[in-house]
Amino acid sequence: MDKRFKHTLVAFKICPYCMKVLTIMCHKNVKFEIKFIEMHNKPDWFLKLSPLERVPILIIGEEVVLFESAAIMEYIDEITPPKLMPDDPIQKAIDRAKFEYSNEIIKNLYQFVFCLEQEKFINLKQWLIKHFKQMEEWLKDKQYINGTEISLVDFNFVPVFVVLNMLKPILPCDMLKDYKRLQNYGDSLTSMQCTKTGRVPDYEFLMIDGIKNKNTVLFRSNPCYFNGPKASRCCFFGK
Amino acid sequence: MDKRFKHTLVAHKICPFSMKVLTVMRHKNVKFEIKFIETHNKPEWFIRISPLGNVPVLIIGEEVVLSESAIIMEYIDEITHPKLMPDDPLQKALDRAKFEYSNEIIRNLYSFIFSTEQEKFVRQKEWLIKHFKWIEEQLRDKKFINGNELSLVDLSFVPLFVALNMLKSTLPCDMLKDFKRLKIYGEMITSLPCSKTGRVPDYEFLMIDGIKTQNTVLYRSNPCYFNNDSKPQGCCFFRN
Repeated sequence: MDKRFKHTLVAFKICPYCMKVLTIMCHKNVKFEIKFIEMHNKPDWFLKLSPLERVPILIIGEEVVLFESAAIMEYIDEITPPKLMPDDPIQKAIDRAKFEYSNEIIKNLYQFVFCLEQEKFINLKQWLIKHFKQMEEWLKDKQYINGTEISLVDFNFVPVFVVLNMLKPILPCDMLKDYKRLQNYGDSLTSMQCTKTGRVPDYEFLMIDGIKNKNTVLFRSNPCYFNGPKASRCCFFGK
Repeated sequence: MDKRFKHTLVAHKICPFSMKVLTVMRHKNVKFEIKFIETHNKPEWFIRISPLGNVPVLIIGEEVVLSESAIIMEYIDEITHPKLMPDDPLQKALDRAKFEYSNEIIRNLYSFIFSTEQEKFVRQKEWLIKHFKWIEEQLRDKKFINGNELSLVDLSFVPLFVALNMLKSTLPCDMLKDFKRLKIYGEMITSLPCSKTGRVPDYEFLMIDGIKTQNTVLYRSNPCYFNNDSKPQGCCFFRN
């Protein structure tokens, strides 16, 4: 293969921003190599390439380095027609703002999952529920965010539903229980082929391992779910 | 004017992300109204329209609300020709990554300026110098980030140099003293007319006032610079 067009994605295994990029690359059938690095032990060659020391980065050929999941996703979309981003400048801007909004939801969701402090855990849960309510209102009766067709912005929300699905068997308390449209939306995103292939096979295992090892509120409140047979009621989310 | 196309920018007076958008709007001669809000006392109407509560926000017509400075800048660029963003997908992606990079630099610079803890202040200064060095290397001999012509990504760096200039006039210590290309680049983009008109007239006053009233490390180390008119010769803080 012409080395100038070789795509190498550098990622952490459980990074949700990497998952977004992986999902779109799988959806668009892009040929690429993936290199996993450790979050707490970043190699020198990576630190030289990524000025903010973040993943994901996409190395194109030998020298060109793209960073920022949104920039990488739009680039992949543009080089693999038909495009999933709209052409209209206003619609494009509205969608891009939702990319950023999804980043904020994901950031808070991960903080909630790995939270060590009870009070912060509760605050984060409330913040998330508030924003799930907002999303439920945006969705209205649409199948996807922008109507009946999938667009690039939908791929941004894949990690949210992958994580919520991962939490569901651990706690029989569904954070989306009051949000039917959002549940349906999440189901249609997570049933896509690219959603299943767009993450490492051991993603759920690594996440659950992290929840236990870090002695998170989730683990401390529900050790039975992580260690033994599953109880029928959720001992944490009281109601 | 057709209300459907009315542009209203909601901003905070010293917000550098609002400054970026203002700079582009001035450069492109966009007609707009501006509403300033206080970040510590956000009005109800603003909280309703901005889900994450951030500025700047661009309201188009009566209902469409755009947030995030990079997004607003690209939108303005697309509706006003000639475009300053490149057409090539790869170059566009590289530039978009630099928008976020400039956001990170600016966040850290503001955090440094308003820092109240000594240790954090020193760490942030080191972080900034490390990144000024990186940008210096990226600039090479180019006039602008992408060569001889101004592109949208250059306007993203305006607030960085506006803030550094404000510091320079207050303290005779130049954080860019070892970075010649960066200094020249900064002078060039801050001398653009849109850089001068792209912020409120009282920006420097409000920044210096904030530095004093928040009892920052900058102020505590150099009270003389913030209080007197006559500036001493040596900088008592930036030793080297």
